[in-house]
Amino acid sequence: MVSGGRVQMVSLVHAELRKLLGLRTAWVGLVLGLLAAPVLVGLNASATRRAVAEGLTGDASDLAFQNLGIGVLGAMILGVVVVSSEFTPTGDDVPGARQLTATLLATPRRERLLIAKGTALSLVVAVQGLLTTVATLVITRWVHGSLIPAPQPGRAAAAVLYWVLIALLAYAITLLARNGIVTLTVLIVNSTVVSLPYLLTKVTPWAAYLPDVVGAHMFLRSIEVPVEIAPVTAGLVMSAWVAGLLAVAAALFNRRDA
Amino acid sequence: MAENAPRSVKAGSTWSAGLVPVGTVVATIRAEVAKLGTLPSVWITLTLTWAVTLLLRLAELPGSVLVHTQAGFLVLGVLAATQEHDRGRQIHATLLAMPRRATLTMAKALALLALTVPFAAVTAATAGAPGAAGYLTFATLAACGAGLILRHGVVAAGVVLTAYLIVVPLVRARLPDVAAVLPAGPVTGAGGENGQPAGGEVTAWIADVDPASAAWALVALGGAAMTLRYLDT
Repeated sequence: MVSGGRVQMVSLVHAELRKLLGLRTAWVGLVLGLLAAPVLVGLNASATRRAVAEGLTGDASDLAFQNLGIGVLGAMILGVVVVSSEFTPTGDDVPGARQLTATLLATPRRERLLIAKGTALSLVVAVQGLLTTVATLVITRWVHGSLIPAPQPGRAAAAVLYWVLIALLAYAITLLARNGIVTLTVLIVNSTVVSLPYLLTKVTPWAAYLPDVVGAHMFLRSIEVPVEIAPVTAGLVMSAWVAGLLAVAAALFNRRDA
Repeated sequence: MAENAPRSVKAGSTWSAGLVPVGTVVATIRAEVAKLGTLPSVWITLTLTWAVTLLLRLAELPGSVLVHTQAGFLVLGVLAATQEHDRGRQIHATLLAMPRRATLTMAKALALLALTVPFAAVTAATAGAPGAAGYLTFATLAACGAGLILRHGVVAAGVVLTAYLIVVPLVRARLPDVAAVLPAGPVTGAGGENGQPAGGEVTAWIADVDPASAAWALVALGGAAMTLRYLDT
């Protein structure tokens, strides 16, 4: 049990995948994430056409990708429930019993557990993000035709990466807070139409480097912030945020009682 | 057991009997207020919401601060509703003490209302938009209704926050035809989608809370009463 390296890791990831996909709320996140962006393309169709005709859009190539920034809510939900489900009481009669107890009994090495969970989450969200991005871009093409420039594959890949990183961000915050409501509140407030970090950039330009704002620069070109951030820089900054938060969350998870 | 029960409970102890004695209703409301007021998570939510509102106001953000900090009110409503369904399922004990479910829903709503009204007034004043207090109160009640229907904190928070912070503003902007039936957001009056500079405009906004946000609260609480009435816990 103690050694056995790769095989054990594969079965751990497998177990975490099955646990995640066995959750009803995870499926809400999956379906919501898959549907939101393509539906928004349809909902926004006439407004988009008007905006393009009047030349209101900063960069027309962004229009294909914008809706992905809202559909990412689904990935966020997955990142939350992968942790919060472990802390939910398993039965009415034993309110103290949580799934985490059984999980840690099976996998006492906590860092392995966190890696397995993170891997399972990343896999699910990567597939979700890929399907959604392709569907959104195809539908955008179908609805708007040549009105919007053809999307570049690199930006599509960056959008998928953004989804995975947002899910991992939600995963880290929920591990820290041990409460899904905190994560959902923080991340949903940040993804509103006129988002809070966006407004904060009016107060201090450094707010543009907050994790979820900076990440959008990976696949969107015309974000109105006072600083110019290149896509690769954006990816690196967001990855650093996520890695840092995950490291803190892992350290705390190792030291706290379950 | 029966001889220990208060007289008012004995007087109307059958399920089908019509009116619940006033004393029982008052006692239920008092119990709900006590349960709500002694919850640490409620006070943490209240304090954080107010503190963030103040901080953002001091940072002089463009637009109304409440567009963002209304999230705290929505969480408050969700917490008030779902905490009894959380670990330990306090709701079982509550229903044992107060089996009349419609009365219980009403008592819960009134208890939350008693807590929310002063808090909404203070927070709205802090944000520089005192007129938004009515909207915030109704949003809290709607969140409570959704929480009572969904019975799960994380799920309810996800649904309510997504609805009020993302879906409603998006749909309002895109489909002006249905905007009338959607809550107007914390900036009522002549303000646009992005709100207006938070100034000291102490107009009589309380008098013109948009009917849609009140209707949403009533529909959510009505749905909650039906859910509690017709579903087992």
